Amino acid sequence: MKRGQIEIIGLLMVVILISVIMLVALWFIIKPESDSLTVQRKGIEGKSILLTLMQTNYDRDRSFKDMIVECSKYDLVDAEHCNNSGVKDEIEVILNLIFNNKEYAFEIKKEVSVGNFISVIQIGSPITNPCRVNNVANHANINVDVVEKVSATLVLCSSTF
Amino acid sequence: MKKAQIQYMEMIFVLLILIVIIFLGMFLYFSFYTKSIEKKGEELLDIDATILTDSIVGMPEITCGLNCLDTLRIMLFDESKDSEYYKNIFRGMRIKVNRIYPTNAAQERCTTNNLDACGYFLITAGNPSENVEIIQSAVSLYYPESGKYEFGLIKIEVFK
Repeated sequence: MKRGQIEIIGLLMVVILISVIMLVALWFIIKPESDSLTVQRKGIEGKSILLTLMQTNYDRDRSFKDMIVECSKYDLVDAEHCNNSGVKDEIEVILNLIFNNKEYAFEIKKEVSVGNFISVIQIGSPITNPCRVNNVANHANINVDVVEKVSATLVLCSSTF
Repeated sequence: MKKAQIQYMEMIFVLLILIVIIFLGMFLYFSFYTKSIEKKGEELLDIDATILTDSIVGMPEITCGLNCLDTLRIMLFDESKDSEYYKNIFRGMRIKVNRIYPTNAAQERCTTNNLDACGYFLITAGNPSENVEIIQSAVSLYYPESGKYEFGLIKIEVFK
């Protein structure tokens, strides 16, 4: 083998070495975030917010859960007593106090027939595209009333609240 | 320049480039390693926070069920009765519960005398420190006299 050929092989080896290092570095950089414990914790936090909210008193005798179940019986998205008066506004007050201008999405929905849902109350960002600023969405979901098939979803967009 | 000198310089250049590549690799490796350690630290803090929040909210001295704190029990709670025991649980952290809803502008600590106009319940004052991270979780605040539930946030100052 001539000296020139040996040097070309050497150069090729260096180029391959650098390419491998770059590829490994690139893999680490663009590797997607795994479902870490932090994300799981956000899910637990979201669930505890929903559970606490449902237990909280809306007025002297009724809790938010009672009000939401009552609202959902009307099968109306804009049921007057749900959206234009108390319940929706009061839930919004609580969530805004907790999240303090951070992005979130909240929805109460009812299953009217198998796989067919209607939205009873919707607050914050759209539930289908909740996190426009921060792309990390942590969903928490609870059954508000099993008989009435009402469920609540809260999406947290930030790592802290 | 003689041929031997040129070859010698060539060898030095090759060595220099190899050293640069090795250092670049080491730099990249250690930067990712540090990043992963920091992430692990954050995850451990999160685990600690979850365990702490659950264990404090579940303490029989102050709990009233799942995710619920009895306000009367908090006000009557006195950690000095068994300071050694509670020292191990609280580890010097400051733990308080803010009243969030119904909205309340009061800032004072709640006692049995000012329950209508107070902002927070103090479980333990802890040791003041700058290097803390506040973790919080939603809890129901139960008032046994009226049977009402309020929305509260338990705030725990975890040492970093």
